[in-house]
Amino acid sequence: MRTPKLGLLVVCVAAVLAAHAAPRVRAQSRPLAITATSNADLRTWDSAVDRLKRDGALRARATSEDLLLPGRVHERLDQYVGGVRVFGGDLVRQTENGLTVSIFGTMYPDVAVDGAAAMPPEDARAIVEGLSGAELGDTRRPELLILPDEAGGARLVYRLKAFTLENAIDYFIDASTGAVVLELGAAERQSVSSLGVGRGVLGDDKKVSVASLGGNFVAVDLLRPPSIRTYDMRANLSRTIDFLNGVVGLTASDFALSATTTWSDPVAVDAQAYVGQVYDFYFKRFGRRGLDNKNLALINIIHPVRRDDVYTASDDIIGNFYLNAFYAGNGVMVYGEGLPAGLTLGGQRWNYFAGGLDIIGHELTHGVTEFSSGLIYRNQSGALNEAFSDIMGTATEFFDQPIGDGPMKAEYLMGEDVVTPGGIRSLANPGQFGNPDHFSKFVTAPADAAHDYGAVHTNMTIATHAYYLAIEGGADRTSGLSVQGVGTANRDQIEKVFYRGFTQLLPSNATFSVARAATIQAARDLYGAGSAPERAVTQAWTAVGVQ
Amino acid sequence: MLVPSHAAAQDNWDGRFRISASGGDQISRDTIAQAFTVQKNLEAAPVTFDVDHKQIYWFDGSIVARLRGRWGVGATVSVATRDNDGHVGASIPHPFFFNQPRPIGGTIGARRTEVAVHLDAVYRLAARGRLDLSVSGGASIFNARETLVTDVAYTDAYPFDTATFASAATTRSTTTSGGFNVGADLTWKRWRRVGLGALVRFAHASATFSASANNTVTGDVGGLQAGGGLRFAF
Repeated sequence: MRTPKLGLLVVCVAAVLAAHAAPRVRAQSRPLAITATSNADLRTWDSAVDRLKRDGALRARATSEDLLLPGRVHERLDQYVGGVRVFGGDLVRQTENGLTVSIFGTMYPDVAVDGAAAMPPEDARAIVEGLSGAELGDTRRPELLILPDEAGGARLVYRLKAFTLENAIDYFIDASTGAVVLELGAAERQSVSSLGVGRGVLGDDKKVSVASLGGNFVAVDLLRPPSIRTYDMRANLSRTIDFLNGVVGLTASDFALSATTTWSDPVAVDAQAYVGQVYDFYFKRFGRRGLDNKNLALINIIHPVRRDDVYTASDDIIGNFYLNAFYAGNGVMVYGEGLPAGLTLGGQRWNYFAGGLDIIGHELTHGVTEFSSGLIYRNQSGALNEAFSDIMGTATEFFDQPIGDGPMKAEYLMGEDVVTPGGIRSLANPGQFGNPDHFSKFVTAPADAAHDYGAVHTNMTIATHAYYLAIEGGADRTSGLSVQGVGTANRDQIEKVFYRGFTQLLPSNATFSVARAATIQAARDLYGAGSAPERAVTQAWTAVGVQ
Repeated sequence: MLVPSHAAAQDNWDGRFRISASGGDQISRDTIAQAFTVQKNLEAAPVTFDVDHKQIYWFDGSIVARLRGRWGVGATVSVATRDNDGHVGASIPHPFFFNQPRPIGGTIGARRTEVAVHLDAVYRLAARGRLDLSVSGGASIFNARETLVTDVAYTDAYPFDTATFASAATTRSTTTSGGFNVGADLTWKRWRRVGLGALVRFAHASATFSASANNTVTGDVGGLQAGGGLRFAF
């Protein structure tokens, strides 16, 4: 019954997409979620995808060998209409020896726009500069896109990212009118829901891979395959913003440095060491070589502000550069300064954000997402983006630290080494921080900055709790449904399942339901149908109310 | 090292002196077990080196002068040398983490050279026909040279969880020590002034070899020697 209907739908989709030789306006652009894993669905979609590729309606963005299953290949395709990419329209096709194994994606069959952009890209850049107050360098070139909206419409837009003292925004500018159509958070960061103060250095001795330069030692890792560099901005926030916007480049004089091999700045030590450890985790666990799997350079930005200046800083600056860490794109991480000793917020102390291994794992994972699924930072896909970062941040802790409670121990709290006591989120018990553990508690909010782009930091815990249950087992507190987890000794199985599902199978506009299907497919791929990981993942998603 | 091939004068041998040249094999308990640390990746890396010198080739030359009756004195210069393979082991700290040593091991060649001077009293124990048996004993001075390891080289690559032994830096340590020797020599007088001898000798001293102030090792020098050679009387 299902196949004939699906086949008809696919034929229609393909026909509509292929017919878009020239852009024109269509009123409706409803998204079509694609989760093809059965033989019948795969046959239908596979031929449709091939046809769309031939017609130019789908274009390959990246093709990658499977790092966990030799012989598997993942082809990531973007939807194009009239030569313009459709934002959020993409799919991922997994093949084995030429045979398709799965297809996940989101397409906009009816989307179309009329004519070319009326506005040159330079005007869009000027608009963004005017909106943000930031000077943008020549390397910041606007990208022309077709942007479907939630009402079913679509328009031609320019997309350009800008960093300011207060925020980091991904602007979508109407290519005809110059109006701001959409703003997304360009800095995918730790959530800041309360403020506190840290205890200073955690006090653990660790090694840092550095380099000698001009009689000093600089925080440049020459031992790991990617270049890992830590820059000390020495509280020059405007220079930090200029760097993030591509206006200025950083030089050797910006390196965090030490006159001897004994480093006195704990922030530089932790940033440099922990980023290396996260890289190690991805390499050893998944065979991944950095954020883009091509050893993209990893850039740490520390001390963008001075701790003692917090008393005169604006709320936005405090929120972004004191009480937060964020991934700024292209391998750049910015770590907040925390609060001076003795100052607490919400009953918690806030230490340097570079001091949390799970935080750095979280931020770097945003980079992995950027170069893999590209989960769009709003609504369900945004929540999945954040969830994957918490999942991998936690997995990094379990990989490197002993299990237990307390500083530098692995558990299911996020940021607990830096934000004390307690951290900021829990994968084991999301309700402990007021976050949902079940899809029935999904928070619907506008996808704008004021509402966390659709409450992405809130809804994320539905997915992270599913991850927790798949490992540890137990019952979801809301549904009461029990999960038979694989056990902590087999946690690597669930880590690999989620890694595979989120980096290789998910499309950019994925929903929770697609994430469920993708991770179940990943479990089948890795461990076989009926395996303990597949059972655990299936039960976990069901327990948290995601079907 | 050498038990002097004394020529405690047999009646039908001419001369007051006997010179001998011998060679053979030395068996001992001597095993060098070196243990020290070097700094690697900001931590102490323990290094061990074990080499077995239980068998060494030797040769010597000696002269014995008859003093009175069956008694005489002898002086021997003995050289023993042998190349043996030794095992180097080390635990190389991880470059990124404390307390994550990586074991490595390999084999290198080591040379033991011993030059000994034995100063002995010699006593002719018996003489039957062409055979002449004498015993000796006295003090020994050893000058020994030993191969010691001073550092190790290894190869590793990211993620650096293992390392592979590449080579070891070595030095030749020389030391002088005093000891003793006892021995017996049986000579078959083939001609009037020339004979063939077989000897057994035990020589021993304890020697401390040093590669640096905190890198020393104590071992035995000498051992049980067995061999033979030519005997000349004049």
